[in-house]
Amino acid sequence: MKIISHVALSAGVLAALLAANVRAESVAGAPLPGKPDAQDPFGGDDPFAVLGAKDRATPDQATQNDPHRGARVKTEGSLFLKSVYNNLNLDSRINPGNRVMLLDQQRQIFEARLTLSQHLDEAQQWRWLFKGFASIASYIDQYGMTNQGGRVDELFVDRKGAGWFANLGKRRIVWGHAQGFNPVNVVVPPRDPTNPSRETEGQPMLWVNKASGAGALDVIATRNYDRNYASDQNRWGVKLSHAAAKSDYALYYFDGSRYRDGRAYERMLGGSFSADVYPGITVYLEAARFADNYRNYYDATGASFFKNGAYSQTVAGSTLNLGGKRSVAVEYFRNEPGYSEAERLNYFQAADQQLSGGPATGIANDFRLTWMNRDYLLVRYQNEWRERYTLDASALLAGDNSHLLRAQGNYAISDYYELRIVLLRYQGSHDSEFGNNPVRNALELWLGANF
Amino acid sequence: MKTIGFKKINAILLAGTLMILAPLCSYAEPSALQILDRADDKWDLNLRNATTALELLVYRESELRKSYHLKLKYQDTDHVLAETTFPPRNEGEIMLQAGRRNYWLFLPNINRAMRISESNSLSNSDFSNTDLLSPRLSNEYAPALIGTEKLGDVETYKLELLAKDESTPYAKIIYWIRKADYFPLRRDYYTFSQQLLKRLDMKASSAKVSWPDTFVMSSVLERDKKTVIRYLKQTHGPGFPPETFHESSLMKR
Repeated sequence: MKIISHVALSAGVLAALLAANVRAESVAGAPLPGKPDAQDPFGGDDPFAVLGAKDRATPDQATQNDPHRGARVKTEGSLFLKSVYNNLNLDSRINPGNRVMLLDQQRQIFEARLTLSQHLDEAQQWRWLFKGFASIASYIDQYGMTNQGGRVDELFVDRKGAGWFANLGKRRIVWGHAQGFNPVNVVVPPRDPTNPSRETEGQPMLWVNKASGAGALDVIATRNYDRNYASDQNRWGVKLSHAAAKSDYALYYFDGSRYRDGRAYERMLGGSFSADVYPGITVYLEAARFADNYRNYYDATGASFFKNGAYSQTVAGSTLNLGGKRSVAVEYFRNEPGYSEAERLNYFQAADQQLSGGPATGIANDFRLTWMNRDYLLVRYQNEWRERYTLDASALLAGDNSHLLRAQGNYAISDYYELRIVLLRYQGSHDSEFGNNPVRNALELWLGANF
Repeated sequence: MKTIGFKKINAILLAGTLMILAPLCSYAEPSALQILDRADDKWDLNLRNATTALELLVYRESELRKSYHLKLKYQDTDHVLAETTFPPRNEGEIMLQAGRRNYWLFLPNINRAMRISESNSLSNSDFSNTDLLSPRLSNEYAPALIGTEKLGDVETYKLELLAKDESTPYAKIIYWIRKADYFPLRRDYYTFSQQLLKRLDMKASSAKVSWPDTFVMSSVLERDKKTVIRYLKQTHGPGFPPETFHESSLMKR
């Protein structure tokens, strides 16, 4: 009932907005000469006749949204009412009987996002930006993340100069161009390959960029800040990129000082490539090699150990435009530090032993989606119909034959309001990655407003 | 002496012939390439080094279904940046042409830039990236004048443009250009299977404007649908810093 009343309210607001904007303007200038012609595949009508219709923006209306206009504070925001229904997997070996993670079966959530920014000078070289997120309900979602209270995603000052750029403050930057998995994206928390639109928190950093026709050099200095801004080690990185006609290349290096316990930082050296190989088809490749691997592995007795040495992650993919708004993306992810079949069985047996006695969470934290296997295949399909309906469906197949299916449908009630429905299904055997996800099925209903 | 007399007569005749033909030569039909370039100049040169506010309107059955506002920074036919300023849901999305056949999309919510194809649709409209961002066709297509034709009451040149290779979004474009002033009026786009795909009609919104600022794209596949682009406001400047059109600039949004 709540949702229905919001929809009715939204529709009413939309109708009022449209009515206020209706203009009976005629279009200046003569229409394109043309007479109705039965042989014409387009009917031979005057194509500009449609412009005599309503709802055209005036120049003032169109330009008042200019994000770089003047020195005023620019505001963007969004509000979401969200209902989440989880079908919990009580047989999950990392959350048996929901005793470890205590997930909710149903929750109503209100989320708000706000972005404020302002140019500080007429030349629009100096700027500050704030982006925050707040939720009035606490909950645990199917990703195992707890959203409580507020969060500052970005807060920075930056300056653009002739051929250079500098940023100081918390900011989200993404390295790499792959659609789902980004091995080289180590500066900010990794993105969720099954939910590409999921927004993540930024990282405080000093970032300097120097660009020229030949390419660009990015240098980043940061520290291992966590959410409480505690930090103890320096981190730094360099990206060197070059974009040519139809293809681009980039090299990445990220390093840091040793951990407090003396372990070396997992130094990363990576590269990426993407190309427009044919009209409508782009391909990409992304690879990263990490100097150390501190992941927990388990032997047959349930004891954990490290595998010393380097490891690599590689992504190869392609996007295909099927015409109009339809597209398909296929991506293969090779995750060398993932568990082999025997290692996965050892892990689950160790989890059975440790979690049978009580809610010990240590071993449960070693369960990370898209890390339990060495091979993944992601297939994604997107489409839009009649300017209002969008579908985003994806299937993520793991090497152990388990899979995750995700379907998201959006209905744009207006330019400002939207309805969204998300369905998730995790499926697999008792010894598989997605078969042991704490949530088996999930349904999310969203009503959103953007302003 | 006799020979010299003939030579003189020949020279006089030749000079006379040239004097008669010279004015006629100046009225000779321009080549297909000249016609194409002059027509594309009307669109391309007006946009150079300009910041343009435009609206993109999607109509179905003559009813406005969706509208976008974009801010276009246009340096030349290979360097264009289009930022969506409305609706709020798409605000901040950037389409960048960083060079010939070098297209990028930036999604601000997830701070991500990705390479896209020139045939991807612009803001989910009937326009592809290249339709709007690259108005000059002579780089990709070889023109041939296939005749003159009346479009309504207007005399036009009718050009057939064939793709120079298969890496272009269209195999063939039929282009109607007004004879009087080389104003571009209409383009029909064909696929590589020789199917008519869509039609672009162009006009100036008022008599004061000598370049196309209103565009209507009609699709064969969705007959009840039209997408309109209107240039609303233009500011010409000395040019943009080169890094404006660099892929790395997208992350600095």
